[in-house]
Amino acid sequence: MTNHWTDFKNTDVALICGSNAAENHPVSFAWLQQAREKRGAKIICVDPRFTRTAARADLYCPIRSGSNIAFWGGMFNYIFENEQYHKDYVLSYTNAASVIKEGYAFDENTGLFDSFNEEKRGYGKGNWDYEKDADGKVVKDLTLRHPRCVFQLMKKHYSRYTIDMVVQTTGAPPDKLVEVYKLYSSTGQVGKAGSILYAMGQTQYTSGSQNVRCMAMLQLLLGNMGLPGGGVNALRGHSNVQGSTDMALLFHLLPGYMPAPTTEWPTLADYNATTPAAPSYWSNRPKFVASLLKAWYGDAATPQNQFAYDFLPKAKKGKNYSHISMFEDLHANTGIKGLFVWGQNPVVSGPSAGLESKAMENLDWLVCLDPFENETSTFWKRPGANAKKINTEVFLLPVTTFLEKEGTLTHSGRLIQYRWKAVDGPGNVRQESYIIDRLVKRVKSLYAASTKPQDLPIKSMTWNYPDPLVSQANFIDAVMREINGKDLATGKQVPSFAALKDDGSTNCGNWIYSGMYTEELGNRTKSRVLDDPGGWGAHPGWGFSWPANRRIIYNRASADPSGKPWSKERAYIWWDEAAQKWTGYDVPDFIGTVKPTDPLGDKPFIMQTEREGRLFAIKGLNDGPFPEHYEPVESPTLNVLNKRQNNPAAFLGKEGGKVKGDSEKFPIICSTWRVCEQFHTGAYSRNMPWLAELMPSSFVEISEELAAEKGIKNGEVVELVSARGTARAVAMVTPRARVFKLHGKNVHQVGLTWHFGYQGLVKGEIANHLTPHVGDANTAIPEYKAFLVDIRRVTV
Amino acid sequence: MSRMARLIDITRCTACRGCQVACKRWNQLEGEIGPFTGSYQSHSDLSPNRWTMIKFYEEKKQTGFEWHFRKTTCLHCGDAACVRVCPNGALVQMENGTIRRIEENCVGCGYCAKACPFDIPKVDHEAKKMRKCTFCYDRITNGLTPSCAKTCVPRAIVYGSWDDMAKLADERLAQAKGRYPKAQIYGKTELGGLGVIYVLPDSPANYGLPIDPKISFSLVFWKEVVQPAGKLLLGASLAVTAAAFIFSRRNAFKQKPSSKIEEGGGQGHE
Repeated sequence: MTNHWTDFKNTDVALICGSNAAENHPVSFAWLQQAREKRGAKIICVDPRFTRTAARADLYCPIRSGSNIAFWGGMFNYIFENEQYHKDYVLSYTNAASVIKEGYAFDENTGLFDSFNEEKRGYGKGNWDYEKDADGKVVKDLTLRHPRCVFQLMKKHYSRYTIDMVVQTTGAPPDKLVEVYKLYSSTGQVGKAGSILYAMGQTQYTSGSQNVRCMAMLQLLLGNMGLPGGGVNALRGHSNVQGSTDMALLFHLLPGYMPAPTTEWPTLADYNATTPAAPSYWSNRPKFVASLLKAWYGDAATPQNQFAYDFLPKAKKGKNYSHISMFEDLHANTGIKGLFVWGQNPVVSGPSAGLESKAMENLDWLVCLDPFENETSTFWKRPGANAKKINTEVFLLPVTTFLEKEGTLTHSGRLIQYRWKAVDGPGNVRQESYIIDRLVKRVKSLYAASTKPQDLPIKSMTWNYPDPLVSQANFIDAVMREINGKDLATGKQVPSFAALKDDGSTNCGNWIYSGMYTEELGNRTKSRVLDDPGGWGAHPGWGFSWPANRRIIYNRASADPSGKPWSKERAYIWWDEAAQKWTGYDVPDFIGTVKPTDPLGDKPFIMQTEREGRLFAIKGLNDGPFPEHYEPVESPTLNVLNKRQNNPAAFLGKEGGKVKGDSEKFPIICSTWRVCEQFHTGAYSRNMPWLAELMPSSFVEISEELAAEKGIKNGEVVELVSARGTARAVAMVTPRARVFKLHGKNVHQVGLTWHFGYQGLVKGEIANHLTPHVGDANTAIPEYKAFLVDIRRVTV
Repeated sequence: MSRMARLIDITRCTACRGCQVACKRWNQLEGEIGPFTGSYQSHSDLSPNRWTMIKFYEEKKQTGFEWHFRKTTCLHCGDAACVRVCPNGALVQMENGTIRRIEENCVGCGYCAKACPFDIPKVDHEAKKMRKCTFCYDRITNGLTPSCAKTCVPRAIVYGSWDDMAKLADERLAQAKGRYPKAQIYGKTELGGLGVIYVLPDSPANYGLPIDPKISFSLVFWKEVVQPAGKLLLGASLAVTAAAFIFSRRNAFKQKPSSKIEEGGGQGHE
């Protein structure tokens, strides 16, 4: 989130799209309803089905799964046509006025941007850049009239997204759609703020990254970035998913959102050559990398050996190591022999679960860490498997639940909070950090006598933490100090990432968390001060919010270019002329003493080289500088907005593209989703009698029309079939599910929960047997949210 | 302790059902895994081990589709039929408004279940005991909030003095009117004022509540008329019977002391 949970109370209009906030993030509704009560705020819910969020919204507009970009594009067009954008903000803080190179083009007849290579399924991107003058300065047209300025390009690009076109593509009722556009774009007025709440209903598509781009662009157009009550707010799917991505439990990143090294960058100099140019704040990246390597390799990391950059494994150039790829490799038996599964249950949560659980049969060994025996640790006895023919040795290490361990969680609002253990776990269960400590020590001891150079990374890795068996608290304390970083000369904790150096004189485990643990302020994640200066809910003394304890990022944008708040109603951060510094109710996201009149003093988006919010993505995402609507890989309708059916750069993997269902055989759109009562793969919650009682079965929501067509009665068992497999579930016939009219054709949409599997107190068939093995063009996140099925009654 | 109440604002409930779990957790009631009902609602009704639950209502209205969730629970009536019919003094009304069940007096006869206009008490036939929401008597007499109100994230359930909750209901109603023009309050005047005051989006009938709940005279007749009359002399005049009726009614409202009470809560705070 750019903002945070408590900040929802400050909004005037909350647009919940691609999230079922009331069910899956109940806390959000405490604040949203407060906004409604105290400010008269409106809550909008845009969702294929009428959820518990829709039930509590002021305005509900259904759109079918897989039509998000059409929906957003239509809003852009509405905003341009009705001039609802925040003109001063757009002009001063975005790249709207910048002129783009002449070669940039989009052709609706091919559905492609310029420079596409069909074979590589990728773009050249060279023209997706600013036109520069003889001095290398970006050419700008502050009148916004230049036909190649971003403003005009964007306006033109989305002019095809007319209300009628959007209605035909999304299936939304026209009156509701216009009402949503009108209400949400009213937050473009000065003094108003609109917040967007989203989750996997935006990301889990082949165009997921572009969906997220749309929201950022919309908030820039309306001047909603950096303001309390505004922002682009991802409601993360797990209490610590934010923390896990921050710490880079992802294949393409190092901690703190630095890219993972690849064979393209064999030396640290090569790696650092990819650093974004100043004045982007990212130009400090070499300091963060050097400090990270010092934290990991200690004295073995020296300026002479590039801080042991050689020790880092390098991804093969062009190779994708995402979840889908890893399981395809495993399926093809190309070398993965063993698997550690921590805090995951891929047999239930992975796409094309049939393929993925079959793939696991190729493992020599599997180690699962879980409080319960879940579907992954029992994949060898799953329905249909022949256990006699599976030679995988499985180890299940019982671990503590969240109440039985101590440590930190970082929630969606980037707030890291320490949590103390409530009770001891039963029997011999262990906290994961103990297990990893013993694992590392064991591996290191096995290599201790080695003289081989390739074993140096293991030998050199620092691991000097107190024994967690003696004191878990001391172990965590030491890890947290290392993450914060210190000055190696003085031994003192660094006050913030600004103190990090690229010469090896500092170490830091993750630059964005720097400042959370210092001698002066102690471990700030344990701080519980309730003060709330300004009443905006920033609560700066409660925990620590990265970066630098900022509660709302880009908050310089809450003030106008001259440094005054855009409106009195929303005074949050401003320039204090008397004190000659930025001040307000939050940590200013700006260099504190740079005056508004100084060079770059009026440019709040400090992470970009041009310091502007990018309506046009320079060098783009893999699938274009502007989001463009393409149909999901499986869709019952033709793309009418352009002539390209699917995202040309979508990630298809090796297997995914092969098993595609066509709409003749599988005419119904299907989506998977969660319910409040079950958690994720259900490994916890389906073993919890009180929760199992609330939601005892997998079910599929189908409309009354579809039920009548197929002769299905409420409560009957039905079978869903996709090109990948089948899943049975109980039918829930409800007016909350609906038929969508797409380009004159009635199309049904159904959806089912994916929390169920064959273990636990309550069981159900695995929904992910149905889902495709294809993913987003940029992140390879699977397209769980839109695919095709057929549905039939089961005579038991 | 003055009379206490819970406000349940249906227009704010998101049906997360945290209250259902919190109730079972505090009271250590077993999970009851039943078959899937074809609805989000887990069971059709309360049970001896399920003292509160959310009931789901899909409403097709001319103004559009609505989906509402009502927390069902003992309403701790001001004029409680269950107290009036209980033949063994197993149900008493406490000063704080709790309709309290005395474990040792309850024989599970089910009179209360028949008399309750809201169909709340459930009899465990094996144990021969009736069970229902205790208003977390053990918590509220020790300065805590009832567990359902404590856990309610959207603050749809609020606990406080009856007067404060009645006032808050007016505020909430004013807010709810914007979205639900037919919104109304339920529980302020019904049966001597209920210990649960609802803010409803529409008519109580839409959410399984009787519009004008009444206590059936035929059910209270035995205890309030025949029994007291029997204790007097047979053949006494009608006037004596009438007087007895009045006395017994009054007595029914008085707290009956008991040496042993359920769920271990003390009476010291009364």
